[in-house]
Amino acid sequence: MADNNEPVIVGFLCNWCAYAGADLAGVSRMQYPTNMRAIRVMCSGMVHPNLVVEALERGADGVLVLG
Amino acid sequence: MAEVEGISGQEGNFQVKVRQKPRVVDMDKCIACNLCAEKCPKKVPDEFNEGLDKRKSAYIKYGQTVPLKYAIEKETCIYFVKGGNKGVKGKGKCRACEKVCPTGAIDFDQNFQDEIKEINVGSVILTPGFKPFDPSAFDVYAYSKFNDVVTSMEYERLLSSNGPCMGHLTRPSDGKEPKKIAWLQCVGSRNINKCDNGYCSSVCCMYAIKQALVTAEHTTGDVDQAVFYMDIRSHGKEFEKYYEQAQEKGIRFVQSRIHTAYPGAEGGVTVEYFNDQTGERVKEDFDMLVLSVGLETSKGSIDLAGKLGVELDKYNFAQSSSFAPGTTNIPGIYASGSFQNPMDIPQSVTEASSAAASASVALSSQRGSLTQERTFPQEKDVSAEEPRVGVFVCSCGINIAGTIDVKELSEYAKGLPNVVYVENNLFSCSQDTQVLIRDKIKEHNLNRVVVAACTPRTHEPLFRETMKDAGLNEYLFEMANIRNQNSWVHSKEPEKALEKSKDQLRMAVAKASMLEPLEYLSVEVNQSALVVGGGISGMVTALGLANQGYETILLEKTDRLGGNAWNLTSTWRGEQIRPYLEDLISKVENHSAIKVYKNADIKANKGSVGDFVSEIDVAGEIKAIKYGIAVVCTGGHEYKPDEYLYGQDDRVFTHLEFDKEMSEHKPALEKAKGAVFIQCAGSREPERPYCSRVCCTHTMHSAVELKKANPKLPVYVLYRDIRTYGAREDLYREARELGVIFIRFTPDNKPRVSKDGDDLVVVAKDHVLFRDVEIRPDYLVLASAIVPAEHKNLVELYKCGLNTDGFLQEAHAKLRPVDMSVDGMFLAGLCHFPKSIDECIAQANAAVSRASTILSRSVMPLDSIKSYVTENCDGCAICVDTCPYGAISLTDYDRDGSMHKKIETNKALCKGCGICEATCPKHGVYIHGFTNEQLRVQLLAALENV
Amino acid sequence: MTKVTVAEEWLNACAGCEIAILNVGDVLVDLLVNNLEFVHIPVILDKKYFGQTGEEKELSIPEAVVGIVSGGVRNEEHKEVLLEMRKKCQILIALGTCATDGGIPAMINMYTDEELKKFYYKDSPTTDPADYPTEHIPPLLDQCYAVDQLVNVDLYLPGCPPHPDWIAGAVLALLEGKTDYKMPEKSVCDSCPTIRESKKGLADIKRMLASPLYDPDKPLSEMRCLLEQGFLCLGPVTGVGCGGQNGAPRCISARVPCRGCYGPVRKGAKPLVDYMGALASVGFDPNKMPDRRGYLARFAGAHGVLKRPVGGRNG
Ligand SMILES: Cc1cc2nc3c(=O)[nH]c(=O)nc-3n(C[C@H](O)[C@H](O)[C@H](O)COP(=O)(O)OP(=O)(O)OC[C@H]3O[C@@H](n4cnc5c(N)ncnc54)[C@H](O)[C@@H]3O)c2cc1C
Ligand code: SF4
Ligand code: SF4
Ligand code: SF4
Ligand code: SF4
Repeated sequence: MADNNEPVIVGFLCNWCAYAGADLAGVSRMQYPTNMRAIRVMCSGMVHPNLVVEALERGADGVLVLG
Repeated sequence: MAEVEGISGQEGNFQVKVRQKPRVVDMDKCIACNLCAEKCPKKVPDEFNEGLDKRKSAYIKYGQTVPLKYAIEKETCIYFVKGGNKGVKGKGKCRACEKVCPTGAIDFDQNFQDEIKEINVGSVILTPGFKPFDPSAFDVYAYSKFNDVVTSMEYERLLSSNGPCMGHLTRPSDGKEPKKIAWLQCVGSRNINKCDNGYCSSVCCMYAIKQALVTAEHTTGDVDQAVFYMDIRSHGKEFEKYYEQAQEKGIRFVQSRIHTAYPGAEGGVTVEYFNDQTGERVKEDFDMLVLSVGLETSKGSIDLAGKLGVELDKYNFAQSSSFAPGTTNIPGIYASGSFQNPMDIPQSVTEASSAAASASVALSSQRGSLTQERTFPQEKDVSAEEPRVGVFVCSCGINIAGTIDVKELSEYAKGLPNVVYVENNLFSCSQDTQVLIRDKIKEHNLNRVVVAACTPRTHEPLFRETMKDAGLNEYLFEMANIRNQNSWVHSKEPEKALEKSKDQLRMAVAKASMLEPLEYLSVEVNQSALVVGGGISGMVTALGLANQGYETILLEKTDRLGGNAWNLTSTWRGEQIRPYLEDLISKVENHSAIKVYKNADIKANKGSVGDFVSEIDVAGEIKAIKYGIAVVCTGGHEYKPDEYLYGQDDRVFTHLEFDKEMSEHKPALEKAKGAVFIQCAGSREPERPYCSRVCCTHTMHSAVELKKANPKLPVYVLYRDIRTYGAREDLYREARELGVIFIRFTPDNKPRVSKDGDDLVVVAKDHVLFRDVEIRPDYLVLASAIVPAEHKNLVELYKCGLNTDGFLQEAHAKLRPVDMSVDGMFLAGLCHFPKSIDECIAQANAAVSRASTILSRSVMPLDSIKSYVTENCDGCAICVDTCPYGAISLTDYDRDGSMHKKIETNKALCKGCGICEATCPKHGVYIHGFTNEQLRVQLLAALENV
Repeated sequence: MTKVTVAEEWLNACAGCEIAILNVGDVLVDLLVNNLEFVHIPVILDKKYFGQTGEEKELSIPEAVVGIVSGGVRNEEHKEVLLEMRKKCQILIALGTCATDGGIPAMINMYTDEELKKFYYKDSPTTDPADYPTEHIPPLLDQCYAVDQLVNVDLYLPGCPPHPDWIAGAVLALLEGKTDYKMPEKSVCDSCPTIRESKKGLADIKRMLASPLYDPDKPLSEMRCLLEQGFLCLGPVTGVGCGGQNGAPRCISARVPCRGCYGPVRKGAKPLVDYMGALASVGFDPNKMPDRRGYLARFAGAHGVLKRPVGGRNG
């Protein structure tokens, strides 16, 4: 991510709701900032807390678990 | 875009005439890029947003349309309107969309005639739905006069995140955020003065409550919200709690009908109503007034029914009977959804499955005769090879390439670890690209493929087929979503979008390198069924399954079939229950494919969908049974009240007891002094916080019978809300017309029952007179609650779920109302929630339909994405209870001579949710395709440059 | 035959690990006859670092094939000794949880030096207030380190104390020329024979000193898992081994919950997050646990696991 002034956000998106919602935002051409990186999961319940902690340890400014 | 013109023929062989309107857009070519709509100069009101904003003549109806394909509306398109194909070919101008379409999907030169197609079908299901009531006729609410009076449908769009104000609620007149909103219930329902809709639309109370709660989330600060109602009808599963929640959140519920609305001083509306707490007329200002409009059958549906000869009832809903819900007067034609009765989503889904079941029984001999299968080459074993990733970057015409520099992205891809081949395609999803991908896989010996394009949610299946075509395991595939989640949403920031696309691609390649081939799983299905519970629901289910040709075992706990239905005399429509019941029992007992066990109970259960093995106890004898699916219909029973002198005076009855009394001692009515019904006895109380749904209708039914038998008999109904939903409202009106007296009470001011000498004394506070009223009846009937059967044993054996009220839990309240969360298990009837007989039968039919989706195949494919146990598991058993599907069990095993523990997961039960993976403190259990490591490499790839 | 030389050092340690070495017993005695020779082990054999009379300028330890260090690294002296050990030994073993993960002393990483000195010399209820000595005391490092934070470690044998089975196992493996000896990467539960029924309903947490339900006449395999009995047993996030090669866990055998003395299950594991996450999954409210960090990282506070609160402590 080139611009270091912007917060880096990692998102774990549930395939059935949040990820579908992000797709729909695309179909509706909603514009939002570029700094979230999405990881698709089959259920937000599968995100191990260690992944969240590790994301923060490795420099993410925020972690979203959406489901 | 197709309309039914007419139907001829009969059950098993109908000819349906369908008028297909031209779409202009070629469905195979359209990639839903929106360019046509962007360029189209013609703006028209968007009917999906209730005309509150505009769309183009080139359009999609709404974002979730399936398939996602655009259309040109001939009625408004400039080319067509100004000549074009409608008048003289080629005379109209414009054709802007045609020029911009990157795939050449728009074809103005075809012959634009409506096409009439003839389709040959065995049965027909009518689901034309409803139209919201148009309140323009109600001048008192000034709907057509001020902008700030809207219908609930319009309001729904105003609230929606993809509606005209993008989810930030503003009022139509001046765009201000409303701070005070009122809802007015029963507009176009329960009314025979202004319109002819005497019925209750059933859904409006709940949607008004939902809208009020959602409004609180979509607005800033405090919003004052008031719902003006006659009765709040939250008679569905979990609805009463939702209503209570709304009250706790401070939404005001005012039991009053607004009689007039005036323009407000600064926009908005002033409403005038009667406050029955104080007995005064009140004027109150609101920023907006929402009219909770009812549902009615559209003119089009009435015409359709006319064309087909389908009979409608007096409210223009399809005529049907309680014992055969969904059927119409014409055999082979079924009605479902709100064309049958106004109903909510779960009920509609249930009814739809039910109609499908009825239709498929008739067609069961033909099942499977029209299906085909595809074959694929032998799969190559790549497990020992180093990853060789091929990357295909899609331009999607200019959808992606217009924002993201795909050439640079492709160059970037070449430098990523394990990537051995990169190519940029104009359309990666086109048929020729599939051939190309397949060839490149072979040519470059690729063993992993990444496509950077749109969303895996729609396109993954296509590419997976291509993988299989190339002889690779389909799970060695990954997508980077650089369209829906990048170019489309960052079109104004091309540089940042490029950076993001590189990250996305890097993440996808990292994950792809970690992917492993997955096994294709399936279970052999034992094509027979178990039905637990022999009430109406259980018997209808068993009969339905048996009629489809499946061997069915019906278990009944007691010594006779029938359950609660034995205690009831007639349905709310007035049909006699006993003859139907006796007929049903004899059909079930004499059906060659049904085995009935009475005095039976389940003792043990193993196995899962397709292959259950249980032990049952039949009158003391243990038997083993095997079956592929189970339907639970264990019903419920009447609650025995502990108040109102119940059990202490023999003039106090429950509904069922009173029905019996009436059938045995009806003549006593002649001399009776009066009858009182007390509603909600045991329902809507802290210990049973749900509405029992049937009791209000039951009371109306009984009250009407009493009045008919002895018109002079004073009959009182003490109630909180009368919940005679749908056409049951007619019974309520009839009771009022016959002179039944209704007195409302609140939970903190319940009726008091005592004895004065020999007299039974009921005291209630009259809400009109503001005084205590004393009644000395001969009959006190308690509309007592319905409680579910004891389910502890079933829950333990099958790991199925209960809601907090003890009713069995469905997989999804709205969308899968008859499936349980355990695969291969279904439910119907009272065990799910209190409901009337017609609703039980519809649900039982729906269960049959859902069950046959499994039973119809001898082998059922399972999803490959399942949990698996790694060598790290050491049996601490923390995960065992966290699995929502009961798929995990603990076992002992021998390692180097000493005993240890570890878990086992059952592939048929596991849904791949990964809760176990997230729970395990030591990587002891993983989900295929989503292991901790696979998610972690994506995370590391995402943060590589931080 | 030539004996394999061994040097042993103790850093921020208590000598429990050295006793564990001695507890290897007969096997050790046999080995000492023909195979092993301790060339340096200050806890048993007197040894001066700067020559017998202090005549040398540099600290020195004899060369050895195998080096064993116990204890973490808390001050400059520990550091100097450790660096010298690494220099002189071909294979370095970190022995005991203090060496592998910081051990109990690394709990200090939650406090500042000022807090430490003030409490130790002034506030502690069992101490007569005194001044902090300034002379003849090696300066403290900024925190208590595990050995591998400063030097490369070849072999880890955690435990507080380590079970002699593993020490014997490691030494025998090394004598056979195998340098990849590794403790099993499993948790205490792997060796725990208790009955697991259901972990639901952990809402009622018992104090560590309360007694679990069990019948003293019946074996461990007939007692219910202590976690399931409401004790915050750290078994699930603690490395296996306290019971030796095949024995049941020591604390559980004494019918008390595991306190985590073997450190994390594997390098890089995060017991703190793992435990809270796992318990939250079965419905336990993490906020109910007092002093979460101190409790869950009691033996593994090095590697940056325990830190001073950012911006100081309040109250
Ligand atoms: C007080 C009351 C008033 C009602 N009023 C009306 C009305 O006016 N109009 C109307 O349409 N409907 C009314 N109903 C609802 C009507 O009774 C039901 O819709 C219908 O009869 C329910 O059928 P069912 O098969 O779902 O359940 P049930 O009739 O309860 O049958 C369930 C059967 O399962 C058996 N069973 C339970 N557990 C097990 C087990 N573990 N193993 C094997 N067998 C088991 C039971 O013995 C029973 O035979 C009323 C219900 C009640 C209780
Ligand atoms: S009497 Fe029954 S149906 Fe009517 S509101 Fe009460 S619980 Fe619901
Ligand atoms: S998978 Fe993990 S949580 Fe489950 S029993 Fe095994 S080690 Fe424990
Ligand atoms: S993935 Fe979900 S369903 Fe499968 S075993 Fe784990 S918790 Fe259960
Ligand atoms: S949690 Fe403790 S008591 Fe339970 S199995 Fe693990 S080590 Fe044994």
